[in-house]
Amino acid sequence: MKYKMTIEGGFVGIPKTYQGEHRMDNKEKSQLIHHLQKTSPKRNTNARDALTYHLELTDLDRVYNFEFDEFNIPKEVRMFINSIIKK
Amino acid sequence: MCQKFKCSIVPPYILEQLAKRGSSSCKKTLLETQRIALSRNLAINNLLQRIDLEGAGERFVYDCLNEYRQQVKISRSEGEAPVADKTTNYAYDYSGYVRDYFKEAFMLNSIDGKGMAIRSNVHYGKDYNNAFWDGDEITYGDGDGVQFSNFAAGIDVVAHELTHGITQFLGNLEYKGQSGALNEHFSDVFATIIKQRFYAQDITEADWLIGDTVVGRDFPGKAIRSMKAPGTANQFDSQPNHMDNYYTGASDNYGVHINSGIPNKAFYLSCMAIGIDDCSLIWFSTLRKLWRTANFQDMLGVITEVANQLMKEEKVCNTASTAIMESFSAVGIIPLTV
Repeated sequence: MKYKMTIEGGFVGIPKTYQGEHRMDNKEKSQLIHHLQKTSPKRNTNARDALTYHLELTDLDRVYNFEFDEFNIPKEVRMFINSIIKK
Repeated sequence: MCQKFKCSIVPPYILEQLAKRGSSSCKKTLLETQRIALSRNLAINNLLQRIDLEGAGERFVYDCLNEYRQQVKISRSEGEAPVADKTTNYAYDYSGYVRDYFKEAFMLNSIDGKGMAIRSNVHYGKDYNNAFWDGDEITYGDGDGVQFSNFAAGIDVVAHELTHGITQFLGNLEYKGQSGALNEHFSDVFATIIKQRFYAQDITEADWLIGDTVVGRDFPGKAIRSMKAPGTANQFDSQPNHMDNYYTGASDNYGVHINSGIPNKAFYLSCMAIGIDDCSLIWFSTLRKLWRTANFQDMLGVITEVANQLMKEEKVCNTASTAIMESFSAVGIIPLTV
């Protein structure tokens, strides 16, 4: 699955973009999409300097777009993002 | 027969009628309902009349144990001796320094003016390159050790984040566009003032940098932002120093960390003209008067009024208003002509 992730905001205020391909089997893929599509709690509008995560996933001809902040990001998605950052 | 549980949803006037016609259970329920209403009203009145006890900005530092959760484990509370974890001590000491500055300079009792407890979270996440205010508390990452280091170890970072809290309880500037850039600006202003005071620097010898102590060895620059020369702190620094280069894109909440460079530069110029002490009083008094959607023009209008008033009261030098107008004019923020 191809991904493009932009992390922006934060005290630092320097946006960072990560782009590439992440190998996953069908089960992992559907689990990730499931977690991404979970209904997220409301964004924290009082947050200042918190990061925003924009994630675009492309699976064959399907494109998924997601946006999270520091407070509504599902744990499994955080793990996926961390694995991208560590690459 | 009228059961109590059924009568409880029946309106009082019906209960009264039924009670008059001899229903003892309805009479009992009516009395019970009145008793509950009376005690509820008393409780509400007591709550309304209670004078909120003010706190004193007690500090609590929590260790997130590198999880992405806050308040995982308390690591130091107000009055306790330093602990083995240096980061905890930094968050504790620096938040106390910032709290004391605002109290001494402006008689502000903690973040909200009512002695709100100051809660800091350290060791948030893994290699986490950020620090943030979330509306209630502050959270610091350790940094990845390459680009950034421990965010709690920067007095300017701590001051910047705590000022976000103060702004929330004063002007509560909306976090997008120009009001968001002003929100960031006030955090940078007090981060700078407090940093210079902490290191006992004179304005002529200070570096006017934000975040220079938290950038790592591989970071391509000397700091995160520069008040003196916005746009020059690092390779990615896109802060403009004039309205001619105003950022109009949607990123970063429509440029809150970008366009703050414009008023930041005006602040620097004002400090060089009238000194940082007069500016700190003028800027803080301005923050008290701004409102949620205030923009750069509004800021100029309010700060000019504030400076004039403080000049009248002989609290700042008599050139303050002119110096500030000139500084704002130098960055392209000029009064609108009708």
